[in-house]
Amino acid sequence: MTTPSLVVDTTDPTPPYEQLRRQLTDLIGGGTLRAGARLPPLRQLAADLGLAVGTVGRAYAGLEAAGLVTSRRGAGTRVADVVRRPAAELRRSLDRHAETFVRDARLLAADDDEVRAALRRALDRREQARAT
Amino acid sequence: MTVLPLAVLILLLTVTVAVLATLTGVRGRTSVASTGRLAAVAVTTGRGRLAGLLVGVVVGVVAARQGLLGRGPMLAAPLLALCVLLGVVVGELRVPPPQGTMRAAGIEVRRVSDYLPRVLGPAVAAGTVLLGVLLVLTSAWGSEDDLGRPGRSLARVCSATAGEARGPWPGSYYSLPLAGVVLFGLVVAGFAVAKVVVRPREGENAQLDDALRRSSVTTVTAAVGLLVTVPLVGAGAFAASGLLGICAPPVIWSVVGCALLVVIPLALGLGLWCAALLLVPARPVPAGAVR
Repeated sequence: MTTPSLVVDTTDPTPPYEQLRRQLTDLIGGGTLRAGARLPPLRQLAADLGLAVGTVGRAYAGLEAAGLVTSRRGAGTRVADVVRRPAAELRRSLDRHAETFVRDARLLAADDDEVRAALRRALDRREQARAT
Repeated sequence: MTVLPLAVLILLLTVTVAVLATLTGVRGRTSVASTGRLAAVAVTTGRGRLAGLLVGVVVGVVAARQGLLGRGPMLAAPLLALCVLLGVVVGELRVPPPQGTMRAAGIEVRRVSDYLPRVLGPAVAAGTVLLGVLLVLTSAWGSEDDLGRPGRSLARVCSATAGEARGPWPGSYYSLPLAGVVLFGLVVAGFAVAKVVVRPREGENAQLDDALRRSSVTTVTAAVGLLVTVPLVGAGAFAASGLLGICAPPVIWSVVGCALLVVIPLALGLGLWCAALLLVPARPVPAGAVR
């Protein structure tokens, strides 16, 4: 089993802490990160991604506020015992994100082919980043 | 000047062990990549270690030639080890952070225990504890010498009319500056290991990246070994001589003196092992050689 990874795009207008929070939320909700799994220490993840410790800390704080993780001194940050997101809810969430993306693309006057190509490029970039 | 022949003997023994280790291939199994960012990290951290070692040799030689009543030679090896540790820290701090717009990191937890050498680590930890215990005991049992310097001799009333004082004794006159250097060295070692573990992961080859971290942590462990074993051998030898040679010693003094006769050769062997590890760096192996 390969280690799940996080990717941060520094050119994305979404702040890095929010990118991290979203990816970790998806990994926890999708069951890739199970209850009790330990997240990387703040300093380690910050160093690996070339981010400030506070940026990673803000992402973790967001997850903790949502009840997805618990932090204890000495025990690190662990995934809380949350109910896995049902498949129907996952689909609804993806549809919502896709609607937002298509709407923004239309505002830029992009046609369907350009929308699909952009999506493919984004998937390819993420795959390349995971591979390296 | 009994220190010089002893130092030459130890140096010869160390070089012999290092040469044997190289010839038998004990070292060099930890490999680093020959290309890519991982190689750059290996070069940067390796240069830090080497610089620390070279500066440490100079500092050690200078220290050995200075200091009152043997304090300089006593601190020479710990100061050398301290410089190696500082070199490791400097090398780690010079590793550049990840660049580029797309950055990836695995969700993994790296622990110090993942990289500590399995045999050397506990052996060095045991040596550190033994040195601590020895210095506490010798400080507690020390007396003033004939010129009133505290903790520089071991005194005992032998009978109603006679007494004896033996020195030099590794009491507070020696143990306090030594403990200061050793404690500072342990703090630097802890910081160095933390930096090695937290260093950004180079994703091109996780196995080699781990091997490089293991090599760095081994260097830190060996430096700590040198930091504690050389004073343990020196202080132990003087303490054993005093405890076993003085008139009418209490039972506890005899027990500790005999225990030191066992500890000293073990500590000497550990110190030589650590010195050999510091002198013989890991041999680089092409990236494709390790999968």
